[in-house]
Amino acid sequence: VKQVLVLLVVMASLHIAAFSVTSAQGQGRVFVAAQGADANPCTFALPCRSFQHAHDVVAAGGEIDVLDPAGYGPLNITKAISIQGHGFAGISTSTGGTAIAINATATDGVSLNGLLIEGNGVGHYGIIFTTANSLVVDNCVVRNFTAHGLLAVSNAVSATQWLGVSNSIFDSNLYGILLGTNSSGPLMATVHRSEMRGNGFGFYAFGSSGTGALDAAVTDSVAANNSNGVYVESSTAHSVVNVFLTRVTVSGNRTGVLATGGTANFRLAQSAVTGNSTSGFSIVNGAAGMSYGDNYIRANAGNTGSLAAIAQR
Amino acid sequence: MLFATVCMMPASPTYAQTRVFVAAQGADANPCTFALPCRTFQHAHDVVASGGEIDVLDPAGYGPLSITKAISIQGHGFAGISTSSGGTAIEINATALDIVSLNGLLLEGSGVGFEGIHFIKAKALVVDDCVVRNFTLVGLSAEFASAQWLSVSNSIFDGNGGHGILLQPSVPMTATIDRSVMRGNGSSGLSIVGNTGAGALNVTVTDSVAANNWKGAGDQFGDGFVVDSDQTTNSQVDVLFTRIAAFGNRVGVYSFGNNATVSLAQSTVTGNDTGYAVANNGTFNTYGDNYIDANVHNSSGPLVSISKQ
Repeated sequence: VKQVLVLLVVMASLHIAAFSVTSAQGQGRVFVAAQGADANPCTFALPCRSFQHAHDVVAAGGEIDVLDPAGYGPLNITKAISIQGHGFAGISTSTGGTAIAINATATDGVSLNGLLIEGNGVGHYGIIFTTANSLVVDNCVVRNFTAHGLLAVSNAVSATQWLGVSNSIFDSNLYGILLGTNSSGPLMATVHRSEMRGNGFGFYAFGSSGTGALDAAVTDSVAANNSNGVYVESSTAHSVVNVFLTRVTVSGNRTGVLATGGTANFRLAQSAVTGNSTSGFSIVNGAAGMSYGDNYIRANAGNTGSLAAIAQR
Repeated sequence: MLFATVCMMPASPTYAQTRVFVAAQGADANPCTFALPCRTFQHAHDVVASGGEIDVLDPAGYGPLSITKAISIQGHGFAGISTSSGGTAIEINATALDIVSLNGLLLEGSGVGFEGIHFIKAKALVVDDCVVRNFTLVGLSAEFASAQWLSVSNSIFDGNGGHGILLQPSVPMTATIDRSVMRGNGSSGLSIVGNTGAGALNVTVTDSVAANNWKGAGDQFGDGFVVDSDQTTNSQVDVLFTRIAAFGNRVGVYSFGNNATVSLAQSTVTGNDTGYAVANNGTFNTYGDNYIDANVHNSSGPLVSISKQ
């Protein structure tokens, strides 16, 4: 608690120091534009240039609105905020850089919508979700990062930490989406109507660094042409990981769906698993893979382990 | 209003325009044309012809509005409305013949506005491609609403203090909710309640997600999809859920009360405290093709099998 308070005090004084002469402090909606300037008050008429400055001046719980297709630079998010990129707001990163880091408080909700996050094969991370109550990523493209497109890590700071992804694209990263527990805190995620293509790992749920429950529901999505399509990993005495795949297409990967470790589980429903060059599914090291018997699994090089039947109801 | 319009714009036939424009640097003294756009949704609404369209030129906030006639508002995904503390972004109180279309709007409550869309009366309301978030009460409230039908598609209802969507009409209504998500709301993702009416209420929910509407142990609220009609004198509420996902809620899908009927098909219910619940003589039908597993408690109450045909 003391650390949080100190942090708040520091943040408050930074705000006052940085923006005492503008009326921008406390604005609920701020604007960025291709030809804006961070000396501006971030209004529509006098927009700012960078996401970081806009974030720093907007009120907590406020919104950054993007006016032009352009790049607006990486940013570190430390409070509740909504960033509305309208499908044309870019962020590029320098070598080894992170496009968006989220280090907010345990009660903050962060919404990212319509952003084009481009690693250019040199940026390290697209989005790192470390602390906040929740992150939603809608209508975004995250591509070409050398490490993670989207990394969400549990921490014990907030009781429940959740991620919601919809209608987004994670392409050509080392990891498209990686969910990891790193504490006793639970992590929950939904991924809906999204694509993970050409990554080293399309979707990776990793429980071996923490003990909190890791649950994910992936629906109406595609993991294609990755080295590993869907990868579920944990180990005894670590997090129980449950990944639920409904109407997911897993195709053209080396390994389609893989679970490894005694507390790693996936459930497969109404999904298509095909054209994977090493295995369609692979269930190893005491993991469990369960099928509702209504999946379409064909034309893979083979499978390892066997699917346990579970009943629809 | 006609007088005001005529006085301000004597040379332009604004009162008959069927398409009006708003822009970030417009002014409400303008005639709401593309060249001379207005500034606020309310003024644009007031001058556009009934059945006309408001077209948005820039990403910006255009202020709350009260809709009293047939209208289409095309926000192109970048038209914002913020509210003051306790305010409502859009109130709809039109006539029983009017159809209202909201498309591409970003309704932001900033944790102080009460309601995103408060629907009182019209023939119909459609909400497409909208984001409604962070209101202290309800994202889309059709409470005591009078309408024939309501339709929502491809929209997001997140982080509202009460329900993401509350349908509680006072007259018979049919509604569809398609490809929408409701996440992190305080009371429920979607609640369909029969207790203020006496007519049939028929709702179809498809390809939608209610997730993480529960804060965890100790939180007495926070369900995913709720159908609630517990008095025999109240509306028969019949809701068909197809290909939905309920995840991370207190109860994933809930049928509560004598006149509540849930039918569930091809749906995923997982990661909830209780997957599905039936209480107070509610009916919970299944087509036998649902995926209900990995909840703390998968079930509470009986499922009734029904057949596809």
